[in-house]
Amino acid sequence: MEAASRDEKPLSGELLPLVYDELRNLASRKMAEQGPGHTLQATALVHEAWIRLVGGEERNWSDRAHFFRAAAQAMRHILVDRARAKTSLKRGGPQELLDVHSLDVEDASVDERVLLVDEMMERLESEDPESARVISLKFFGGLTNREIAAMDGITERTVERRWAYAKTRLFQMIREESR
Amino acid sequence: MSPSIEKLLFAAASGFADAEERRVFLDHACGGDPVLRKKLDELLAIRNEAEDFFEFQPEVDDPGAPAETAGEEGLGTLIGRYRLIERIGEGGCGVVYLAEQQEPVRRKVALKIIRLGMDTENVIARFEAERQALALMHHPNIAHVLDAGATATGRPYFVMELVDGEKISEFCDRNRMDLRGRLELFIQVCQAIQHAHQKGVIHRDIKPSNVLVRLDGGIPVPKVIDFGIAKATTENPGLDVTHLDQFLGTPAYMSPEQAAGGMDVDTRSDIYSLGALLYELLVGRPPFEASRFKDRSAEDVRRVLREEEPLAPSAAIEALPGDELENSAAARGVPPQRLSSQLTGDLDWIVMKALEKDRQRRYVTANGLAMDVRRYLNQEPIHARPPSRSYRLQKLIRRNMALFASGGVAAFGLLAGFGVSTWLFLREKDAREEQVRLRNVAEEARANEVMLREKAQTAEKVSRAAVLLRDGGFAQADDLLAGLSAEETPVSLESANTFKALAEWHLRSGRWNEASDRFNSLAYVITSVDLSDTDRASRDLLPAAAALCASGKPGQYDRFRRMAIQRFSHTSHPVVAEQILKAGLLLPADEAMLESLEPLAEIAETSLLSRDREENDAYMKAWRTFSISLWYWRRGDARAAASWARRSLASSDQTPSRVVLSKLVLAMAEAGSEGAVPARNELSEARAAIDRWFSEFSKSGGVSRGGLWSDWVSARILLKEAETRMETGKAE
Repeated sequence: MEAASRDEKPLSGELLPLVYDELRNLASRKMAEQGPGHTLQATALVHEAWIRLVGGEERNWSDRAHFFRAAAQAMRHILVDRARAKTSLKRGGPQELLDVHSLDVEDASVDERVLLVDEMMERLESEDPESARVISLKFFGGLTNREIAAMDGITERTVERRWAYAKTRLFQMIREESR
Repeated sequence: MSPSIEKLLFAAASGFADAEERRVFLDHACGGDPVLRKKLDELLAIRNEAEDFFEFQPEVDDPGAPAETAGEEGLGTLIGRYRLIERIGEGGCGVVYLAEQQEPVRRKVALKIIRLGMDTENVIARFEAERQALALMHHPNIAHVLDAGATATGRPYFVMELVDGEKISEFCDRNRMDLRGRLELFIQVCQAIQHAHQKGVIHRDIKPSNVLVRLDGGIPVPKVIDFGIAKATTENPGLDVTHLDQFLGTPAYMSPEQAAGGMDVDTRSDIYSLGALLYELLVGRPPFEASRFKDRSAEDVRRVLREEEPLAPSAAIEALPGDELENSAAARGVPPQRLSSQLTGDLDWIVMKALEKDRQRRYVTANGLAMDVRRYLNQEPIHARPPSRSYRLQKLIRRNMALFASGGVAAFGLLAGFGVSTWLFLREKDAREEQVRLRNVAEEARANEVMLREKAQTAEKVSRAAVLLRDGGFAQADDLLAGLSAEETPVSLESANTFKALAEWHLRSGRWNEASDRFNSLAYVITSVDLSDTDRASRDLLPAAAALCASGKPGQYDRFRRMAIQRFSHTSHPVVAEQILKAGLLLPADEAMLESLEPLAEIAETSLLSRDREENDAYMKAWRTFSISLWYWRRGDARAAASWARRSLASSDQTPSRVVLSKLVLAMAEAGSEGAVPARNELSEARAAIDRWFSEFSKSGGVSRGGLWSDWVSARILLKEAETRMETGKAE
């Protein structure tokens, strides 16, 4: 873990699978404990994973930021996998991609929303990386404004402002796609 | 056109609630850039829909839920697990709705949405910090706060038990309740507050609208609502004058120290508010009318609360204007001329004692206040006394300090005119003696004050640490609490959880000494706090026992186990019994300890005969069998110890830590009877298993596999004992 977080590269190849496995195990254990119908809170999972992986040792902010970025990505995989499984179940068969055009955006279930956001992320990333980042951390990673502010050295207000813009822009993209 | 300009304009334009203002702003800002303007218009138009879309609340996929989420005050809206049904009221800090909880049970609740302008994250964090204390409250006159969260638009909300009642003052007036009826109700309110105080919860916002009364089989029952909300929605007070302009509701019932915004508001602040409530029940008005605070600056409000003496209730009645007096008397079922006289004396004093500016002089507890009211009703002598002459004088001097200092003779003359002249004739000697006495009283009071304040500060520290922990701020939280000795540790569940989290954090990083210090504090809390005998409580003792025994300071473990044994020796819960046996017997014990543990061993043994499957799955059974073998070993009955250890080893459950522990007891027990030789192999095997676990534990950064870490630490303790015995056995 330490070796991974010292890595200067944007996201080291070793950290992501580590975090992903940890989050997945945690999630399945939680689901088993709490029974069906329960929901997973990304925030709680990510924080628990952080504690389990680094043992709560004192770390500097770049380690923590590094971890949270990986965790947000890992959570995105997990949420998308889960949403995909659930929606294809509902549709009665496997389906690679959600058909945006056949979907009424306003009536989309949470799982469908997760899939829609996921599908737009790539476009948003190339157009406006800042917005993509805040969506990843907040929507998928469940991080609080305060945590993101501390990670990026900006104020919570700025985070909130970016978040408000990013949501609107991404929603607009979904709208455009579904027309 | 760079994207950041677009974002900045978007943020700025979002800030205008008024569409017209927004239009003017955009006209100006976009100037001659129609492309930018169009883009912004489009984004702004879908802003609310985007908010709704991203409202990430998986609970919402209830098939019956309407998609409509236009405004959170819209009825039918789903907020978390709650659907708004009807707006039932509005208070200073928010709007209250009747709502229906969807799951796990369908039931009606009251949901209060706090008005804008509060930092939602902090409000919720503060609420979470207090949640466990709140959960400990069980009282028929307290309405529970069930949940808290944030709405889609980021406003904090609280969910409470629904109380179908009426504001206490209105209930009393409408039912024309007489003095006795009102006082009886008030006593119940005091008892509710007393209960909360014993559980470590201060209400901070007691006022008539937070005490609801309903008829239950014809008997009026008061319920205090909003516990925990004032604390959660108040910023650290006293830092910023402008915060005071956000007084929650009216300051008419607020103690001077709370209005002043100190950190150390304690239970006595609630006593003041109870006094103000009683005042209103008796007089029909609070001690300071709400209208007096209207349009006044925060500093003015503070000054009034700090310096102005309210009229005593009987005097306040006499000062009522004619028609109000008539109404008041009618509402209390007495002729107007009797209204004042029935308050003169005892009730005046009781109320004024509760309303003392100096909290040292108030009733110490809510119960004390209730008792005095009860004494009045029983026509017994009350404890509150009319203020003594010297006390009144002191107050007068304090209030007129400036006058004394600057006015000199002229001021004396003025005061003499107010009837103080008697004091001037007090003989000098008397005055000096009184001075000495007062100084002693003051010093004593100050010492007491310091102690209480430290206590309050400590509790506040723990709350802050709990909030830090939520965000993963272990190091900061630990720093905050590092200086506290175990005996200073606040006794609350919050405190227990905080210390447990910190202990485990140290442990995961291999800092055993720090871990055992935190465990020591945890043990102190667990054994002092009034919990029912659940295995949850005693389970936390096991890691504490192991850590203290392995790395604590000399004597710590012994003190700990005495405390634990004393606290839990009367349990009838087999799991608790097993845990206390294990936690208390890691080292040889003296006769007294063994004696107190005997009933627990019996409970554990008897429970193994039970056919109750739930309680007796193989895992649980095997641990219980082990704890019994340890018990016999400590009692010096090697044969029984060996036989129980064999039983534990024969179990279908093969949890590695327990297997090792059982083998160790077996090895020691057999060594006593059949010679040390066959046991030696067992010991080296056990050592190998234990070493292996410890090395994996530290390599993995504190992930325990093959049983709880505390069991492995226990195993190492028993291994040491076994090896020492083996050495001495060889020497003999």
